[in-house]
Amino acid sequence: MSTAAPTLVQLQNLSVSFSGRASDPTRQFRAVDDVTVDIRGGEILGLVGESGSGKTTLAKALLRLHRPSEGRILFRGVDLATLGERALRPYRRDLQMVFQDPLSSFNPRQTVAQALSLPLRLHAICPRDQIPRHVDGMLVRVGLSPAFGSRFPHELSGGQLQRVAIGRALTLSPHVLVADEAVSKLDVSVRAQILNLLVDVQTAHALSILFITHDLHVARYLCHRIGVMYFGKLVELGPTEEIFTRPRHPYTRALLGTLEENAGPDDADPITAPPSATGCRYGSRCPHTVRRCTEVHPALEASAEQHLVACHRWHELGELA
Amino acid sequence: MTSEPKSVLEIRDLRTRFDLHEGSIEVVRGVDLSIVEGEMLGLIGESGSGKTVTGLSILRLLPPNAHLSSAVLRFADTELQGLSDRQFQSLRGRRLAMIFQNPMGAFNPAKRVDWHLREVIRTRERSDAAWRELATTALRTVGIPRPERVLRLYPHQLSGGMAQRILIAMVLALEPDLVIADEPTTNLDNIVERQILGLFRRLQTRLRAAFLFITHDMTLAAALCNRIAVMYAGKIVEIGPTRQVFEAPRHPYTQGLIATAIALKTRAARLKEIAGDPPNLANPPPGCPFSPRCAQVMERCRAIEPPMFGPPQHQARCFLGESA
Repeated sequence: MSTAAPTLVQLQNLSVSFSGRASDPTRQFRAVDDVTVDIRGGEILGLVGESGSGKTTLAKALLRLHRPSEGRILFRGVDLATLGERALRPYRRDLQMVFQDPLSSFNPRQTVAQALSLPLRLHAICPRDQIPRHVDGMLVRVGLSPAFGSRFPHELSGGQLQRVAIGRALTLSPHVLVADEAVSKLDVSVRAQILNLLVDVQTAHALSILFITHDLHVARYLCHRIGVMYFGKLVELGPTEEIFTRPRHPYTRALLGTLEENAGPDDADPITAPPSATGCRYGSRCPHTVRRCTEVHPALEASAEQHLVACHRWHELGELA
Repeated sequence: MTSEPKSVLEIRDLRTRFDLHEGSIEVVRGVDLSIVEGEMLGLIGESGSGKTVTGLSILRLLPPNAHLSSAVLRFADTELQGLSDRQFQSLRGRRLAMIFQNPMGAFNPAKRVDWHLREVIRTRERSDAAWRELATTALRTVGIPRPERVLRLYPHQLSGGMAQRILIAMVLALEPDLVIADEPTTNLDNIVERQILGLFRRLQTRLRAAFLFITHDMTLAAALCNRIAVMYAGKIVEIGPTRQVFEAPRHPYTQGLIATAIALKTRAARLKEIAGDPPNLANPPPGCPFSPRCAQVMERCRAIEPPMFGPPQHQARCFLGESA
């Protein structure tokens, strides 16, 4: 991936809040907190972080399945964050999603062909009599025979169904595909097939993919750039190899430390502390916390070209702690 | 290990069948396993391979429509098959323990943490006075600071990693001879996962218990277990010492799993795929169940199911190993 790839989507200072409890709707929980990141044309951008870090919420906000509480989602110069349902509709086809659990993302009473033809009909992509041809072509493109069209979702294996889900997402020739843990629920022996398929469709269609995963091996294999999230904040962003070979944020380092060949189980046994309420979210777990960290959450700054890190002390911590 | 280690679990030809409306499905189709004290055996397989049902069968935690049979199902010196449910109950949760994937499901949501630990400690400690001391010690051992405070929490106030730690503390307090852990870290993030694995290792050396560690993650099993058993379509298709299985896998399915893991790690240009899908056990293919997906399939693989081949310590259910 060269630096020349133009920006396709810009998330600017995006926040998504949920009200805490029914008894006290004023109490807000910020699942995504002031995140700025761009998605470039034809790149696979990975989002990693533990469960609850806001990866999925960010992706759903991008697709406007959540309404952002603050910030902008710029897609081709238009801010999707504030558009109403009707105004949003023409953009829906440009942004598509593949979910984690293929079985629950299909209507059990629709055949595969029906599921694949629905987006064609809703967006009036082609004349009605052309639909079956389109559906067959899509099945072949994702590596299935057209005979699968007459089957129901429960008759397909997880891998086959995820192929159909990818096909359905591609039906409308989107520019951005969001894949949320799209291989996590698949059997290990099937995972490689789907990863290869994602690479194939990405290259063939010059798609941009926002790939959410907790599997660091998969992220490193697939993604051009990686963003690391921690409790709603983007704490590090950069080209994949840069992140893996020169991680700057202490959280990224801890995360990558779990991959080291001889790391094995962690006997040091630190305790999982809740995120700090003020200052750096990671401050309560970070071995390098100083007073400044407890006061202000650090802003993202460039540690190298294209490599951003949100840590007050990244330059003191050096290459590897 | 100086003297001959004591056998904790011995299984021969374990079969578990579920009766359903549309007929019966045999999910565990003849499993042979043995674990000695102080040993951690990794049972690897994908969803539907029968690994979880194997664990549940050992602990008699199956639903009423399940039928179990085995030639041998021996725990320490006791043949489990002959025991009444009442007799079995006195072993389970005392000398046999299980840790599940979802720790929340193992707690009573209406009771605080202290109640759970107390219930466990009561099974071996008659005096009621000592339990609090034992409970706080157990919590400290699993890395929980200020255990007195945690004892007063309700399960929903715990994070996933914390809940799994407390379950492990309960197992620790129990001092069982056999621990069956079914994907105990699958729901946790990488950092917490590694901490929990560290706990397992310490638990193992401390208790000298036998562990059956069920997982779909090859690399996880490799980091933790002494021996690995790979399960496919209800049978063990390969079993051997971890190093040997990883360095010289004998079964094409194991070879495929390892090749995928390595390709991911080394970022090969294209991942090596295992073609096809896992078999449907309601209608298993004839011969070797892996034969429809196997790149090295031979004529007879499609007709005859291969037995185990190879030296006793490292065997695989594949005709390719026949001459070896």
